[in-house]
Amino acid sequence: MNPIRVIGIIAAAMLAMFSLTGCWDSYDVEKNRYVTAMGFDYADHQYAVYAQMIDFANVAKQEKGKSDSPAVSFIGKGQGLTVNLAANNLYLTSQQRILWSHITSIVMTEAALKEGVKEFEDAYDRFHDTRYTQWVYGTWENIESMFSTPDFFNMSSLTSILHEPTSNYKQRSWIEPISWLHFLADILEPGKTVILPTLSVNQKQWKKNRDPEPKLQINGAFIISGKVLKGWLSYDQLIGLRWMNPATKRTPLPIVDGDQMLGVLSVESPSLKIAETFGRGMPRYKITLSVKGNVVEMKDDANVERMTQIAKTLIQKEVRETFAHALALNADIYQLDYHTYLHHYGMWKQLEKEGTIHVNEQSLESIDVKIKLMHSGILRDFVKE
Amino acid sequence: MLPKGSISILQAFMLLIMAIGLDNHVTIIPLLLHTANKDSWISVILVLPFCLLWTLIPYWIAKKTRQTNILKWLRTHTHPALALLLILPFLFFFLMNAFVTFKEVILWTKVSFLPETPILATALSLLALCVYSAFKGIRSIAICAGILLPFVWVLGYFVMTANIEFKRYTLLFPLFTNSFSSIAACMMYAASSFIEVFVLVLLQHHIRSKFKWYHIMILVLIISGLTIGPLTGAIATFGYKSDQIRYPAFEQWRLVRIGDYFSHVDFLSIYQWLSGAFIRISLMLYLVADLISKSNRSRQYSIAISAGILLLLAIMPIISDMLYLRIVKWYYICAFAIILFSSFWLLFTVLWIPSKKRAGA
Repeated sequence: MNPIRVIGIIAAAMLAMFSLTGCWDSYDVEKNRYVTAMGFDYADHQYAVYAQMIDFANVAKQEKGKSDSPAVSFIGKGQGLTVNLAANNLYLTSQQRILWSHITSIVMTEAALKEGVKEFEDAYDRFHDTRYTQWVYGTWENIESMFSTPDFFNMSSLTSILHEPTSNYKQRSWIEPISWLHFLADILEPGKTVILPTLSVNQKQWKKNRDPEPKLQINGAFIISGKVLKGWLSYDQLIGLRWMNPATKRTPLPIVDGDQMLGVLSVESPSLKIAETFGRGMPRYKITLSVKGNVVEMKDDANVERMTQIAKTLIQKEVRETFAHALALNADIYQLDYHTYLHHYGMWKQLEKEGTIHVNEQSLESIDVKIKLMHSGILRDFVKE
Repeated sequence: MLPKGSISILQAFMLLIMAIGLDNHVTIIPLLLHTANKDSWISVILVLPFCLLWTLIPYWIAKKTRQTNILKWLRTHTHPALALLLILPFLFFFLMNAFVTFKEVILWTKVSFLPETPILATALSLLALCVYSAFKGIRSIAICAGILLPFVWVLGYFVMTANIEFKRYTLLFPLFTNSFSSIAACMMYAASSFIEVFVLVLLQHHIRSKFKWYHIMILVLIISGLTIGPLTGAIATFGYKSDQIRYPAFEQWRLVRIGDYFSHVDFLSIYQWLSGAFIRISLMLYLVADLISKSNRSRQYSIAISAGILLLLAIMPIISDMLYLRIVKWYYICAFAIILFSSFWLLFTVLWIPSKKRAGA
């Protein structure tokens, strides 16, 4: 072989070996500081960025079993004139390199949402480490106390609804958790209303032995449309939302007749059909709602036909109730306007040009509810004589 | 007379799927989204029939010239100066093409996963590899493409199916919310990457088997699938947000998550992107040499010199990022004009010349 060629090959191999093995961008895993959740706040012309870090001793599976000491979370707060400066401010005390690529949750305060999601989003997503897969929440409360609320059994907050809300939502579907990705896409979608669940700390429900044990809870939702924060609705005010969301997996419906409690249905998988008519320029919507359900609790003097009948009127009532609460905030909670945008774009554009509010009290023309009862649980007395 | 080439038609296809696929999978998608956001995917579908019809032009050219070297053919059948009319615009096109690809991949490496590695290190290693394979010739580039492509393909399907949980296809609608001019511009950008298959005419003497009329059509169909897939994917996941994302295809990789413990697999996209860039740059360097040199020696010089120019342009801070994005836009318009214009005048030449010769004989 030609000696020049041999030298060439060796030089190329050396170049590849020494320059591409990651010498510049390699870090020791144990020295990285992994941020698991971020909080955004805004006060007095200052942006605040909160970072939650978790001691991995309470996360990773260990041979000796689970930890017997409570999970430790570290919560840092950085402040600055912009979002990036606020995050940068955390480096002052972070000791080692912070890694932003494993964040699984973002929490925004009301002030931050009022200031505009765009400000936070730009700085957050422009940076190469971050992704779009996080869950996002709003909150009224102090982010520091939220980030330090642990899960049960000395487990860290990584298994709480802050980081993993889906299994909880499947057992009691009320307000659907939303990912950062869908949150950002929906904000930009014309005619769409974004329902951002809000987190709070419930101090009362659980005790650890005798001491109160705080737990995270979804207590309502911020309503955002047209990139503007319209307001907040409580958990109870959003009672009808679950019927209008096909994602609903399981939700309880107490059957009350006057002042008499007949039993409880567990309702699932609503499917929606929206028919739209245009009278006097304003769209009106006829909704057909089919749900499946099963009996989970039944009083002695109840019968199934009566329960289904009452369930229908209850669902209608709840749907209208939430619709009215949202209208008070000038919000269209059931995405009716978005339906027009998708299916009658020309009409929607016309409405947009006229600048009128697209949805009002008359918009919801009718709600037709169909219930299919699948089973009555594992007790026998389905049909009462 | 059968064309004497060193690669088969299948190899040529894999070569072009890799080379053009990178461009219309990665580089062009942000431009399409920026031009017509939600209407971009329908624009691609609308322009497709025209492109399919157009593929008959390169087919006729190849047929009439019997897949001989097109430059040689022009020199012998027409005035030699006419060959220059093909060489000059395509020289510019190939060099620009290689530059855009090279700059894009180097920049992406820097901003997305190797922020602290100097550009010189990544640029030099990639370029050295491309120069080496361009030296080795079309056959070795084609063989590399054949080895790399199946994995690129499998990974592409993996990311597509893994992300179904995030996709909401209603976000693709409503259609035609943009002005006609932006839809037309979008159609042109998409077409400019599809008609890149015209390089087959410049490669035709290397291809062993004869083209059939449907060959190039199938190629364009496959390539259009490579655009429509990630484009609809990006809109269905990010909605209007996709317009603001610099690397929408890569960003889809970063979402992949299977169960609780499997995520952060975007490193696999590095394989896809680098193999595409490697094939594309090698092919462009090779084609530059093929255009301007006759001897083996001058071939090596022209590859080395063009690679040197690429390296300088990409690593010297002459071209800022903003300027680069503007160049990309103009590059697609130029590519569209060059290829379309060349294809038409070549077609008229090949249709006219033999009949004249036959008449004279």
